[in-house]
Amino acid sequence: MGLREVYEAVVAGDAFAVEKLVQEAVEQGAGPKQIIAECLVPAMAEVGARFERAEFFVPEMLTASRAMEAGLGVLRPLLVGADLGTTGRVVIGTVQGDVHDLGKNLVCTMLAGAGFEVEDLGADVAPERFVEAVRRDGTDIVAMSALMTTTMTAMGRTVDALVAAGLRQGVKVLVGGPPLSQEYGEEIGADGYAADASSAVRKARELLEA
Amino acid sequence: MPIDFGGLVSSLHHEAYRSLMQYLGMPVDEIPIMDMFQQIVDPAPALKDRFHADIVGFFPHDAADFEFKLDSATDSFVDEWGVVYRRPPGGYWYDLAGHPLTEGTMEELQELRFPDPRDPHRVKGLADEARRLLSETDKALMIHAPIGGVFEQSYWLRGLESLFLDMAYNKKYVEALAERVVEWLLEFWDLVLDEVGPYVHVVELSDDLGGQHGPLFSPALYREIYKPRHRRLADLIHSKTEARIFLHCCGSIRWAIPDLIESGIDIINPVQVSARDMETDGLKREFGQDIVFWGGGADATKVLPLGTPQDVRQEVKRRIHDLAPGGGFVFAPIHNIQADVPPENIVALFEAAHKFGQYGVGS
Repeated sequence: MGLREVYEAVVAGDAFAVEKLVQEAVEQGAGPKQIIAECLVPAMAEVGARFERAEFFVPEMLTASRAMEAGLGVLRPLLVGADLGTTGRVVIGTVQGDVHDLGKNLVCTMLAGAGFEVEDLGADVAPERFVEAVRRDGTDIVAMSALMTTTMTAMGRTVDALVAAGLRQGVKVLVGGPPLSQEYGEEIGADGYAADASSAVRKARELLEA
Repeated sequence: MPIDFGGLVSSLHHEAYRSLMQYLGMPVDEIPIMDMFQQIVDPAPALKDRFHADIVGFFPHDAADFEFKLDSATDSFVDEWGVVYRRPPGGYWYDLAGHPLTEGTMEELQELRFPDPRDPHRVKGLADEARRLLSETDKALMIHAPIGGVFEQSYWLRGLESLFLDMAYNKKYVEALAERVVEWLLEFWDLVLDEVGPYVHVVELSDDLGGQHGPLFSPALYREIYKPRHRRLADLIHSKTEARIFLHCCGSIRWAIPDLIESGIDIINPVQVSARDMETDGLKREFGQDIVFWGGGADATKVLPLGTPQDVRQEVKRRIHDLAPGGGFVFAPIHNIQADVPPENIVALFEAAHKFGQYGVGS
C-alpha cells in the first residue's frame, strides 16, 4: 500500500520518491497526521536504529533526513498548528565558538521526524542567545552540540546563564557531541546526554516523561 | 621506544606552547606557526630535546605562484586549491569554510584547475635540506603530507556534507573526484621522492576514515573507491623509496586496519584510543605483527586535558604497556596537543613516555 512505500522511500533516502508518494497518498485520502505517524516517524526510527547498528552511516542519515524533509514539506501546509510538534518544543544549537553543525542538523531532523517542534539557532550560538530563545514561550528542551573539547566548555556557561536568568527549572538540558560523555553532562548540570542523533530522540522523550 | 613530538599531527597549539614554555622557565617571544590551519607550532629545539623527540620532519614547498594572504577582516585565507579557511571569533584554529566544487557536476569537476603537482618550486632545495637534516642528526627523517588524502582532499574541495550526499546520490562523481585527487598525489609524490626518496625514513599521508563510533561512511564504499587508490599511491611510494608509509587516520578505524595493511600502509596514526573498538591491548594483539602503531600516547579527550599529571602518567604507562612490547610502536600524543591542556600535563606526558619507554618494558 502507498504508506509502506513512503516508509521505504524515506529509509532509502529517496527524496524525490517520498515527495511524489506523499502527494499521492494525500490525494488518495490519507491524512497528514496519519502519514507522519505511520510513515515518517517510524522510518526515521528505523534509520536511527540502523545507524546505531553501524549499518547506516552519516551519508545515509543525511539522505534519509532529506527524504523526510521532502515529505514534511508536502504536508506542512496541510497541517493545522497543533498537529505538528505535539511531542515537545526544542531549542537547539551548536555552542559558542564552534561552527560544526552536521551532527546538530541530523539531530534537528530526527527530532522533527519524531514530532518535536524544533527551533534551530544554528552554530556559534552564544549563551545569551539560548537564554533569549528560552524566554519565548513554551520551550521544553534546550539541546546543545559541540565538536571539540575546546568548545564544549561553552555548554557549562550556557547552563549557568540559564540559571542566572531564572529559566533553568523550566527546561530540560540535553547535550551531545563527540567529546562529550554522560559524566561530563552531569558535571555541567545537564539533564541528559546523547551519543548520536538517534539516541538524542530517545533521550529527549525520556526527559519529557521524567 | 621512539618518541614523536613536534610534527604535523604531534605538536601543540600555540597557546599551549606559550603556557608550557612559561611554565618551564623558557619564555618565548617568537611562536613560529608550522601550520596555519591547525595553529600549531614548530617547537623550539630545546623543547624537543627535553622531550626526547626522535623524529625530524620537513615540508615540501608551495607552488611558485602561490602567495599566502590572511584577510584580517574576516580572519580567513584561501589555499592553492581555492579552499577557504575561516577562524570564528575567539576560535582556536581555522575551519573549512568554502569549497571550490559548489555544483557537484562532472563538468565543474573536469574544469576545475588543480594546482600543478609538478611545479619545480615544490622541491627547490629539498634534497639539500634532506641531506643536511640527515647529517645533523641521528633522528628519523619524515616528510610531511602536503594536503589531505584521497577522501580528505575530496571533501576539502567539495564540502563534507555535500560529499556525503554525493556518496548517496552520485557515486560516479565521488569516484571521478577521487581519481582526480589520486592522480595529483601520484604526480606530486613522484616528483618529491625523486628528490628526497633516498633520504627519508617516513612518508606522511593523511586520510581520516573514522568518527567516534565507527566509519564516517560505508566501508563498502571505502573499499570500492578509496582503498584501490590508497594502494596505487602506496605502490608508487614504495617503488621510489625505502621509507615507511605513515597514514594519519583518525577515529574508530579498527574495521579498516586489514584493508590498510593490504593497501601497503606501514604505520597507523594517531590511534585514537577513546573511539569505539580502539582499545590498545586488543589492537596490538590483533595487528601488532603487521603494522606499526604511531600515537596512542594518552587519551586526549579526558585524561590529557582534564586529568591530573598523575592520571596522565598512569595513562601513558598503560598505553606503553599495551603497544610497545615487541617493537613496532612510536609514542606520540594522540594528535596535536590542544590549547587547554595544562603545561604540567604535557610535561607529565613526555616524562612518563621517556621513563616507561625504556626498552625491555612490559612482558
